[in-house]
Amino acid sequence: MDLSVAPSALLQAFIAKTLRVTTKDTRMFVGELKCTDRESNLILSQTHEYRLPKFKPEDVGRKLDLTSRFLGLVVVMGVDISKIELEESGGGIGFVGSSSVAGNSSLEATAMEA
Amino acid sequence: MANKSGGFSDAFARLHVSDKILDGHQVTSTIKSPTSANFRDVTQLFHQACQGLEVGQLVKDPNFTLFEAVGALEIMDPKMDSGLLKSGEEDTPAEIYQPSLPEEIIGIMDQLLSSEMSWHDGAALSQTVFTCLYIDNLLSMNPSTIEEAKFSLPPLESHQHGTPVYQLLHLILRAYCVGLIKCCDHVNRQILAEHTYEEEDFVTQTYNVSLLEFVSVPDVNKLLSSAIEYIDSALAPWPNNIKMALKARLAFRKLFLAELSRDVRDMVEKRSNWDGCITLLSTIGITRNLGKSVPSVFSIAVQRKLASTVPPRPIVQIPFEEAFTIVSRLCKDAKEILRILNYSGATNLMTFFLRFTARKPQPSTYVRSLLQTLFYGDHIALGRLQISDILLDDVKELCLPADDLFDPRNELSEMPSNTRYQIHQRMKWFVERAGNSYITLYRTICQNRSRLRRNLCHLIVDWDALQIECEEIDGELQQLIKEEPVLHNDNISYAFSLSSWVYHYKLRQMEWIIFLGFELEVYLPYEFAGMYWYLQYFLRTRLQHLERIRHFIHPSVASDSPLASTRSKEALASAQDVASAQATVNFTLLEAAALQELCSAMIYLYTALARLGLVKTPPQPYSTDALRYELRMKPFITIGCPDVISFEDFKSLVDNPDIETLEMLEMATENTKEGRKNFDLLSKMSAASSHAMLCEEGYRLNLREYLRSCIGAGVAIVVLIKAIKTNTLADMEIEIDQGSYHPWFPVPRISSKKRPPLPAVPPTIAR
Repeated sequence: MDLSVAPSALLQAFIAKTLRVTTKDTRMFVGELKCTDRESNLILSQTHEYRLPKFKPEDVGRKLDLTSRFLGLVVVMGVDISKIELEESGGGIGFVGSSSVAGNSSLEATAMEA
Repeated sequence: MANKSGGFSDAFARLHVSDKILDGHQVTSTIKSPTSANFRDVTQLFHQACQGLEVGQLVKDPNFTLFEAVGALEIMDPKMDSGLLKSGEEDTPAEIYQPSLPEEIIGIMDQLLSSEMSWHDGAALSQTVFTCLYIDNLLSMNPSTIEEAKFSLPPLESHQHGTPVYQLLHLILRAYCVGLIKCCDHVNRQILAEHTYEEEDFVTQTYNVSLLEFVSVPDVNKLLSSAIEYIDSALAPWPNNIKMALKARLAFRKLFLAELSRDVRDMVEKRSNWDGCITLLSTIGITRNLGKSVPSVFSIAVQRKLASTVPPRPIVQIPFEEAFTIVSRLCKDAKEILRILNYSGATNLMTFFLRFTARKPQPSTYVRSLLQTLFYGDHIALGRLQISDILLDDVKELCLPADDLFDPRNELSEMPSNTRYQIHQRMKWFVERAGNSYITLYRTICQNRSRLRRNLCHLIVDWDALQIECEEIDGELQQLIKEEPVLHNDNISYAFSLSSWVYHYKLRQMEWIIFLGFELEVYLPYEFAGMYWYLQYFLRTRLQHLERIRHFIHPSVASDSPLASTRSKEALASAQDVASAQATVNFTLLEAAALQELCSAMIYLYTALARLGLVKTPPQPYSTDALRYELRMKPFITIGCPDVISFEDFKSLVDNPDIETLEMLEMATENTKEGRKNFDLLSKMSAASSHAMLCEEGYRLNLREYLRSCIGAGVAIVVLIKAIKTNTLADMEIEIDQGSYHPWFPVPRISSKKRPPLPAVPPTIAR
């Protein structure tokens, strides 16, 4: 492959940037990329785990916190990854109104409230 | 292809990412401002770029080392990833079972107590209290007031609001849970306030869950009281024994919390009521069988939610009986340590610390932490004294230096040329310098036994330096006060009171290091003789030193001392002070002599056993005796006095090749007899003259254990002599008994080998 930018240089640009990695069990991990390899295995530092709470009928209209917790340094295997996203603007690590990720409008609304 | 590569560089060009602000917060359970970040899907790009890498090629942050990566949690690995769902497992938390029987509530309370005590015993909150679904439910809303600290459970037909069944859960169990969490909060605060070893003694990690720290104790009390009132009221339809069981548990929580949240000032004023806790505990024990356990309300799944940088750990819930023992012991120990607030001299205090912390099993981390706070919390000693009071008492009780050192008028003098001013400066230095070492020594004694031994190895280096510094100060002081020299061992000498005191403590610590080596089973039996030799060497040195101290108690000063005219009367030591210092030295001499005799007996006994082949040196393919000796002597090698002797000398002194084995055993017999005589004398002394006023029971128990070791060694020697004389040694085998004797003096049990069972056919016929 004739690349004007070597793959390693391209990947190097991702290093120390915040990624949001979705695993095949639908959890998301937001952390800073420290290391990667040919298999897309990722080492993320300062990582938070997010999981979508299941909705029950009585919860509609209530403010719901997304379940999140701090994990620190983690390894995510490439084979377990279903999606990698890059954080583009500065500031904190947050859930953006990207409906493709949240996939639930009521969740978004609560996220906005929070 | 060109297009694709363009895409790559284009993507690269667009990879404009502003400098990241590091998220310093440990945890965020709410979502941050949603407008601040935008995520762009780079999955395809990333994967393609990765595939362009060589096998084994890494792209990494230059500051990141793979060594760090060892500590990373592996996501999706069941052993590492606490958030991983088992296949088929739903993420929705299972409906929490809502009990409707009071027996079930009693059961849950007792299970919670087991969890709480497992935490006290060293497991993490994530393995114990936090695994209870009710605790999780209560804390997951992060309550900051008592009103918010409640369960949020779906309403049930069977649990109509206001009914007794409803109150069981939403008043009684809730109050108990809130009380328990608040207890944990105070225990955690206490342990964090003092020095203990995280993970080794106790896990203070709360995974960023607030243990109701913003809820006040009176509020919790009110809640517990209203639960008790409800049980007492006519609304509660349960039988009396059930009511009693529930009430005892709630009342215990209330009292336990009151004690755990009590500050030192309160304790000094004797407001503690651990006895109340102990009484209620006995009711809890009696009503234990009324409870019906509900195992389903504890779940490991809670760990999925905890902010934890460590892999998942299994649930720990010790049996109720064990938990009951732990909590009972905690209450008794916490009550016992209050005795130190009745200060009755430094030597008594030290004896208490030594005996209390040597207890088996060792007092809990909480109690050992509280003991440190009582001793020197907020820089106040025992709640009302200054550390200098205790330190100087300790010096006076043993050495009784010249009165001029302690004259209160020294402090009033402001003229730098004035002798009193100069004395005061030196004493001030001593209080600060030695005071620090002295506090550290007490705190170190409160650590777990292995740490105590390890830390003592560091402490003796400090005390050795302190000794040298004090010798200099002693020299200056003796000139300032015009001390009269005295003839001692054919030499004219001075008291050197301060450095003498330091030296004595240093020697004791050196002994403790080796003694603890026995207690912690660091040494192998073939090393015993050598290690006892060192002990007896240290003890002999200390005995000589004590003789010297006795000789120089209350040294006299020249009658023409310039201080004579301005001496304050209250600073003068009375005849009784002198007598009591002498008594202290005599007692310490007797104790050291008893130990020395026992150590000597042990040297001969274990040397004889080695000669007779009953204690064998295991094969040491990568080591030698000399290397091991070097290792054992490592803590002492830098100590100026007493010296570590060379390995060759050590070997011949321990092995004593010139003495016949039988003769050696006869000598050992003499030693055990002498030792026994000394220990007998010690046991006849009063608690006051043994400086065991605060812990007489523990002190006497310790003496009895010494005696038992002494007698045990005597028996072993007799058996051995008999075996040699009757030539039945080949039939003998030994077993070192660590359990039934003093932990510092394990005794060999010598018995004849179990004979093999007789063969079915007598051997003579077979032949």
